[in-house]
Amino acid sequence: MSKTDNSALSTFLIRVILYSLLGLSLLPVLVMVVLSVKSNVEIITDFWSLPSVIRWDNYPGAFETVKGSTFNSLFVTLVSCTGIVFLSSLSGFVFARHRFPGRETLFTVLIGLVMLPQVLLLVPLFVEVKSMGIADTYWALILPYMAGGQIIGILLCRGFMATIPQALFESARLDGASEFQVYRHIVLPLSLPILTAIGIINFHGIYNDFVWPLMVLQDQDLKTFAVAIFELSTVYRFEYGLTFAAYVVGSLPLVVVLLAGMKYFVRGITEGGVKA
Amino acid sequence: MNSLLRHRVSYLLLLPTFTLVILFFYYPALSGIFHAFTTWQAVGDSRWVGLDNFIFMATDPFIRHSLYNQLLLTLADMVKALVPPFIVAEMIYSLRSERERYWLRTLCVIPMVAPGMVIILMWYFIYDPNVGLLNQALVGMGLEDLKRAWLGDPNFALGAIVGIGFPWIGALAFLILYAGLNNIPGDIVDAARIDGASKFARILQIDLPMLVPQIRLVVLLTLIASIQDFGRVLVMTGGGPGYATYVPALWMYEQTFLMSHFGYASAIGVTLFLVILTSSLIVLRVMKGDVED
Repeated sequence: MSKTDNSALSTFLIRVILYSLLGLSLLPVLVMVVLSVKSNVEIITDFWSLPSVIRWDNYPGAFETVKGSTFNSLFVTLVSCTGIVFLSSLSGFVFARHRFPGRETLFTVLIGLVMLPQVLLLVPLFVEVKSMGIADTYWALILPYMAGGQIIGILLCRGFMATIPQALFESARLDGASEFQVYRHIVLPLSLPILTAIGIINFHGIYNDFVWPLMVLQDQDLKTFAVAIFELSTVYRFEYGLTFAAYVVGSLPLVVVLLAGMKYFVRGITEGGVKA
Repeated sequence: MNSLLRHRVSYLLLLPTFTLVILFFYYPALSGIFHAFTTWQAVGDSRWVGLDNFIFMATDPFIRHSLYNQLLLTLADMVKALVPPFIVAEMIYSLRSERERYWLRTLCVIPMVAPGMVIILMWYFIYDPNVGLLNQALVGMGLEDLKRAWLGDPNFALGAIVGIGFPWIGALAFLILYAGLNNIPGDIVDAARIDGASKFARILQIDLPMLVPQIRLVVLLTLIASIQDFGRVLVMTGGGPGYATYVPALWMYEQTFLMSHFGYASAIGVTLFLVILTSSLIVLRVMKGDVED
């Protein structure tokens, strides 16, 4: 066998293995979508068959079941991400472009926080949120998410904003631009790619969070999607079609945002990984 | 005067960031460390008890079993986070067509669009003893004897939790390792090819040493996530059957949320923090970024 045959064969094998592995890892998602359009009877008696007719019957009920919690998740996530992006850009800008005594110390004190794991904060933060009287409000989620998400954001923004040419700032100041105008008209537009990446990575993390909302929200009307479907899975145990349709409905916001922002998401992680 | 005003603006602009950080990081962290030495509870005064909480941990059967489970889970998580993503990254890297590589990379990231809880609950369904995918598949292959209640069997429950996400192509680890591979300077790869190095020799002698920083990052992220993330256990088994799948962070959560033993829970939290800190420092020490070696 010649060398080229050999490498053609190995490329072929690599493709077979790759596509089967990727197919397998997508299997749970495919099963979810397929079962969400089957009736409960079909699922129990005829599990493997593809649905004979696509039944959308599960969806109206599923939508009713999770629309509230999906809205809660979306609302909390959007507000938190907006706050994170704003604070990251603002403080990143100050650390990158302002000169003031104690700058490096403050920056170190701030970035050192990434060493504090959630597991250390969970208990005292739970008690604190209760005693502040913000348990069972959206603030119990939004404020800690903003506090945590901004740290890496500031680190990324500072690095990025340090590369903006100084001449741009000087000419703006010569034109009499205020500090706010410099931030608003120079820093923000130029930092859009990094800010989008920060927003999307945090969207993914916050939309997925489970333990913290489980602990601080008892009010049924405030519960987030992850908590709601966890509880749903114990209540509607045998309503399979409905349950899977509910999973699909609540996944949609994350699907839409991540697919739309995939480029930024991947680039954010990739650049972080290369700088490691 | 002018410069003072300028500095005042800087501090003022940093105020929101530092207010949040003090309220939701520094204060709770110090509070947790302090209260780990007290009988902090929902009602009544908390009393200073020195090391009592830590001494009690040493005799607590939940801690003993859960530490053992955690060790196994973390080892499994490490293998899962490094091996399949690395193999997939190497396979994609070996393909010629730029377009196909881009498309395959995207395909690896696609599963991330499903919420984590949905994936966990899908696996809960896969393991369902009656209608679950796994038992259905075993029946379909004529292996009826292997059917079991995967999550209800103390001998299999922990293994079932490890199985979540099979074939474990973690998108995050994959992206980090794949980016590292693509970042290896072309002349090094070409030199190896001219020297007639086989694919495996190249992977062992060039790729792995060049990827040390990325591998270290994946190891650190996995270590931290593995010790903290008890959500999957909470959903799949609630720690059971018996002690079979308890992990320390889950026990800490129950001590907090169900029993209001905040002092004892803080002691568990502080201990886990120290475990994460020490093992991270060891990883950094062992895997120094000596790319030149």
